[in-house]
Amino acid sequence: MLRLFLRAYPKSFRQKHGEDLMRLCRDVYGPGFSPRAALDLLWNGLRERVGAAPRDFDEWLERPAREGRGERVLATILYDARYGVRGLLASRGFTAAILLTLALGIGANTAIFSVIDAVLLRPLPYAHGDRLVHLQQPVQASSGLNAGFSPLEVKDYREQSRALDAVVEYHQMQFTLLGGAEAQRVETGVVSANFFDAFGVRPLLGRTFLPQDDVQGAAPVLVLSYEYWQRAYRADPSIVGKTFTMNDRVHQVVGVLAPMPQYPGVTDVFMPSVACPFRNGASWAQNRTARGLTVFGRLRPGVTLSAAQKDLAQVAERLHAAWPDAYPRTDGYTTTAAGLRDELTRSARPTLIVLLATTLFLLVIVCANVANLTMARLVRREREMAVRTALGATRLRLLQLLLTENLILALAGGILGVLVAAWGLEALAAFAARFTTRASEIRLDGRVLLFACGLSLFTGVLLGCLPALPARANLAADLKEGAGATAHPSHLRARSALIVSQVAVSFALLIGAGLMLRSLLNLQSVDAGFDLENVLTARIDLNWTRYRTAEQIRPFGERLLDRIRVEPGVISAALTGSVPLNGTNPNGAQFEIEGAEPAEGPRPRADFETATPEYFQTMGIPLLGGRAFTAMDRAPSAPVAMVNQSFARHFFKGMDPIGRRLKVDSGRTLVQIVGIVADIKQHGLEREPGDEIYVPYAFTPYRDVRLIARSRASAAEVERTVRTAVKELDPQQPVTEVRTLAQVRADNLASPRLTALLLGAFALLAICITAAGIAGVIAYSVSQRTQEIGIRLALGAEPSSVLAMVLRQGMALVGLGLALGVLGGLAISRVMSGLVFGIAAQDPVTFVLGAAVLAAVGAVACLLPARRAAEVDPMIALRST
Amino acid sequence: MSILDPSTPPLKPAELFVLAALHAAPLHGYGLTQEVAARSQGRIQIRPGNLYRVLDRMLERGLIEVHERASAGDERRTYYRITSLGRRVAQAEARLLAEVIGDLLAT
Repeated sequence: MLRLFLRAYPKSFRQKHGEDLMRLCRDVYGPGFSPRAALDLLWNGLRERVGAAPRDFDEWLERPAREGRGERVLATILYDARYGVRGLLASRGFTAAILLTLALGIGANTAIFSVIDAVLLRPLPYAHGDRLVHLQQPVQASSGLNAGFSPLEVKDYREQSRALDAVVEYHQMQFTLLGGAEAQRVETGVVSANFFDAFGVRPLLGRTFLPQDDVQGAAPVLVLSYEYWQRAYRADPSIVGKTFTMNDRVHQVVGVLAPMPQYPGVTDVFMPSVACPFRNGASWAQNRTARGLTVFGRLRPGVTLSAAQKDLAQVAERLHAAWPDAYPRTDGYTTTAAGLRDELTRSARPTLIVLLATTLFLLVIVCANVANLTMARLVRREREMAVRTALGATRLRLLQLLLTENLILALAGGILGVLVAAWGLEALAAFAARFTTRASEIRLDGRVLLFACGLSLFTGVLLGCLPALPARANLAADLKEGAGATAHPSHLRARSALIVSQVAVSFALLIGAGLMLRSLLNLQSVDAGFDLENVLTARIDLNWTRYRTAEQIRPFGERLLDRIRVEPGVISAALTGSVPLNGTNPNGAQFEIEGAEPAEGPRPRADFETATPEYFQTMGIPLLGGRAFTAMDRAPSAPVAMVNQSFARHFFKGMDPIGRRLKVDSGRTLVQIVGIVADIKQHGLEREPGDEIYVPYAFTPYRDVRLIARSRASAAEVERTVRTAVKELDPQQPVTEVRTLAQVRADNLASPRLTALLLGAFALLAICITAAGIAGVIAYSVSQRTQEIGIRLALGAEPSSVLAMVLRQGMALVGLGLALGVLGGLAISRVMSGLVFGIAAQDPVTFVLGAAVLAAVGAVACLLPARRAAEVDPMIALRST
Repeated sequence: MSILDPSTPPLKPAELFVLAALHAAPLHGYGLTQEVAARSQGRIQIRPGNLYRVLDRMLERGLIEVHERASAGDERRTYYRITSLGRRVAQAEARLLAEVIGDLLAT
């Protein structure tokens, strides 16, 4: 039995020491089989084999007789591998060129795959990920935007839906957390008690919420998100049980969540819905139309999404019938559900698919280039192959040899590629984080390595088989002296075909990059409608426990402005509800125009925004008619409003809106329009301006406002001023989201800029590889035709005509590639139609410019070998026959 | 082979103890493991599976040689003995170590 383990040692070792070793084992471990002895032999036997390998390998390989078929095959493979490695080491330039291209191609694909795998392919990191749905209540009247749900509706859907076995709510608040080193404004996720159970999320420490945490009168508890726990408490394991004061009540931390995507919002702490003072105020909890909660459902096992849709529609129909006031027929309320996975990745999908297509195209170019290099090398080895054939090697045997060599190359390229991918992954993950919260899951794991390995093998096999394509058996010709480098026309044809495909694919990539670049330039030239130089913005979200009423909020805002305005560096300052270009959806609220005929269809809606008198001046928004707000626009004078140009155009159709009155606030308030201002891009550079109604801050002071300050001083100085001023007014009041308007705009452009940069880098890489390929093939063709060119020159051809001839030959390939590339370009532009801004996806300018760039690069690549052809000395060329 | 030859790897502890054990008398495998364990106060236990790898390496370097295949009862055991090269290498190594140890003990 133990003898079996002796076989772990190499045969030569066994022959020398086998008997002694067995005897020693018996002496030490006792007679009979012992696991310890077996382990000892196995371990040391393998060590001996590994240690002896380099010494024995050559000897073993050269041994003529083989014990069995398996060993024979293995020996052949290893023999070829050794031969291949030696050959590759001998031609270092060739090997380096191939490894570099392969590393870039496989690396780019591996990196993109790791992103796609994490974001699109892998199941959600929630236990019930595939059964989770996002419930939505789109309203036709506000262009199909999701209105969210009111607490009463959540209760109804939870009780009445038969397709869902859990319905949970989420909304986000900012509260001030006291009790740590300093007051902190925390993003608070307010959730149903069974929120974490429905998602299947487990706590890392402590527990999540229990049903008894979410009943009236329960002691307030908090669960921390993993990120917040790491950031604010340095992963303090004793955090569970600590207490903090929030909203004037003592809250106890009961748990910390495990790391996972921050969804639906970036949240610091979670609290049960009953603990949120707003959610449970009568105005919200008992009002069916107080919507705004984000709601998720979990499908019962076996229930499909479409069945759930039907079920939800039935519930909605019952609710609409029971409370017609809450669901005006003209507004068009519906209730739908979408798979959570699609929701999480929807905005990332188009960009990622474009990137995947780009890297796959790049891989095609890389493969074509490597194939080209391999074939060039093969031509130099034709004599070697002929000799092998003469000595009896079969075609299959030669193929096996080449396959082994190419697999070694491809695998080495793959290993380098993984390094390239690892190097670029962090940046890529940061890029993906702009589109999806799942970016935190991106990593190089077993699946990604498996992908890289498969890709390398595929490339290796593909390249190994390529040389087998041109069938040829002209043994005698190949063996003749001086025949070493004769052209096989089939080779040149194959290599030309590769060049054509490279040009075609490069063109497609260039189109992709060009479209993104043009789109970015368009976005950059968009006029946001305001002057964004030297304007600082900051968010001041007052703690509601101390600023409950308008009478408490307004003085704070006005005193803050008075305090900041007198600073020497500040030109003007104002307060408003939100920073422009913020990427949010319009929060359309209903209004009526006094004296207007109620129109057919849904009631009109517009964005409401609060503004202090200097807002328009500070932002540089031109006043087009009437007047701006003044300090007089406050109670007890009559309420006023300003509207933007779009509003005036939409609702007054050429008539003068100034002096007209609007019924707002569900008809409770009448406001008179006193001024019209120009449109600004409130929701994003790529979006059309919405209809805006501005109301004076003095009438509607928001608790959560943005301070806007135009200054002569540097942003850092103004920020200091603002922070000091806020601190003087209320030491417990944090200032957050301090940014200049220029930064806000840059942020708006960041994703398209990064996408353009990535696509541009890939396209540049593709063009460089292709140019090298063109130059290589034309040079090869010139060297094949040296004699012919020599004869032409000897017979009186001008060098310039030789130059033109070679250029023509090269440009014919480029032209053919471009013609084919238009198809690829059209394909990629179709995928990109959702990403471009301000141009048609099939933008002719991009196509023409792309073709021109590629043709120019192709011409330059042809020029070098063409000049060499023109400088051929006829005497030398003819003599070398 | 010279001990000053930098291409020669230095003696490993197990090898030094094997040389020390064989310095006194030729031994067979089992005797060697026992002797090495005793001399190193149990600190160096050469596992059977490893012993012949160590011996093989030392045989190749010419530090030891096969003494005889003696019969003990009905079993034939291989005895090893130290070569003159092995002796020189061991002594050079010992002198080197003695210097280091002397320094260490002095301070």
